[in-house]
Amino acid sequence: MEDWLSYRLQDFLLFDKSVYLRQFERYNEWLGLYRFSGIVAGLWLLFSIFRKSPSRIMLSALLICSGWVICSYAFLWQFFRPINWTIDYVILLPVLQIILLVTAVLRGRFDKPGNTSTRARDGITLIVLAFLMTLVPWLSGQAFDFWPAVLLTPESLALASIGHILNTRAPIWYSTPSIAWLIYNGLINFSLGLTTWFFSLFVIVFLALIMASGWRSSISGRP
Amino acid sequence: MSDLSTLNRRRFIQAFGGVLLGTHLPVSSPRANPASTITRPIPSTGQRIPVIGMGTWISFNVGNDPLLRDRRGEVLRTFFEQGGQLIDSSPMYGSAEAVLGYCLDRSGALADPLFSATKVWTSNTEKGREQIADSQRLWGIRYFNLFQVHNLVNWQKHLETLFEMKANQQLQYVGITTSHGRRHSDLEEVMTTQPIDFVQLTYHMQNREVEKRLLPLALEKGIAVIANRPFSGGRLIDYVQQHRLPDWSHEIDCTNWAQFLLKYIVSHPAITCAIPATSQVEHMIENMGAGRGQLPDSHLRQKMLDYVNTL
Repeated sequence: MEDWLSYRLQDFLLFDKSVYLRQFERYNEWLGLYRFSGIVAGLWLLFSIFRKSPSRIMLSALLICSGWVICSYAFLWQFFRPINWTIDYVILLPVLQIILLVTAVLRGRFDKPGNTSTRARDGITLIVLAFLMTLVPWLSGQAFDFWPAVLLTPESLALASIGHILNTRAPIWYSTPSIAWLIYNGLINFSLGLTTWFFSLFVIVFLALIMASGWRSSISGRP
Repeated sequence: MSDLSTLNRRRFIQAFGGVLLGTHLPVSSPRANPASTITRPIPSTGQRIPVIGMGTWISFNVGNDPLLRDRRGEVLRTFFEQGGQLIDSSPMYGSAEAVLGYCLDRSGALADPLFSATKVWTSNTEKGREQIADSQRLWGIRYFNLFQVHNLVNWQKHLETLFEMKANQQLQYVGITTSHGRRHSDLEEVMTTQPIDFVQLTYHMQNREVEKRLLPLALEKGIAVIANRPFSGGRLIDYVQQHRLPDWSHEIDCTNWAQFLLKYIVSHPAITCAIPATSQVEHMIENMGAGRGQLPDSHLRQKMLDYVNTL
């Protein structure tokens, strides 16, 4: 037990910062101009949410699923997995998130916008953050080639997934895989000494507050 | 003994394509004079190996990226040009073994002196055998000089397999490893009860726990010792580099902190080899410099320690 307590998070890392960032650069090269399709998809997502159209919201969910499929196959499996064997296991998170989003569509959870304006506002905030998080590397001086692509990289997709679920009648637990991904990714960033871990921490605290307020509301019976 | 590893990919290229490849690869550093390289004998056979080897944890895990693979190839070429032999890896290090195989392929005849060392790392005995075969395929060699049980995982069963392979001349030496100063009592038990050739453990100026029992035991039992994490995962060298190297460091032929830290380690009489890892050619040249010139005696070792403790 004492031996286990002596481990630090960094002891589990298998790659260094430059090799990690290089995967984003290679993924962006692979995406080419399609990298900008994520921005278009993100704008569509925001537009749909503000319009509160059920069909558009369902379509947006499928758009997020498409992003997860591309990201899981290309970024996670082709580029990240060769340097990080834990992907063999955590790849289940995007797969589960896709299943839950599709289930929500099939069960009509996305046929109406969320019940409370507070929850919808939180959802929109997270989708906006899905855009902004791609700018965090810019703040730390990284070149554009290394920036994560909007709605085509795991963190951005996780935020968009959670935001989308919050904005509808789907249960919050449907976003569990994305929350787990944010924690996993935050730990990697922290171990590598990347300042972006602050961003993951912020989002996780934000979600914890949303869940705590939802739980309090359910206790008091007020929406 | 390395002659047994004939007909692997590396030697095939060496024989048929070596000239073609070799003439197109950049020369990264001047070759070191082999005679000036400090070597130590492996107690169980007397075979001598250079005191500075190379680790691959993190540094060689670059996946399938051609650009980074070629850069690691330059690091490996520098290692051999500077007189290096022992390279240590593990299936736990992600793509490190595959990258190493790629780089060895491209090193041609330069990689001839290779002393190959890797590990078996799984709790399943049968999977251990598969892992051993995988390592041979990834490195591109049929014969390993040294196979070790990684972090004592399922060591009883894996040692049985490795001793069997050694008896069948499928490998030369058997060893066991730990790191970060953990599970020393278990390691002591293995060293006392098993006929192993090598032990690998963490030893550096800020972690000298092994000086108390394990290093004297290795000397007593005639077990070769590989020191891993000589820079404490980079933290130790990052710290000392903020300070000036002492003026008297020229007495032991040190021109940089890497050499200072490494010479302290390899000057311990029980240490056979230290395995710093790096992804940069210039750092490799610095590291390999620790395997030449004067080593400190016990008086200077204490002086080195006192100096670092004041920083």
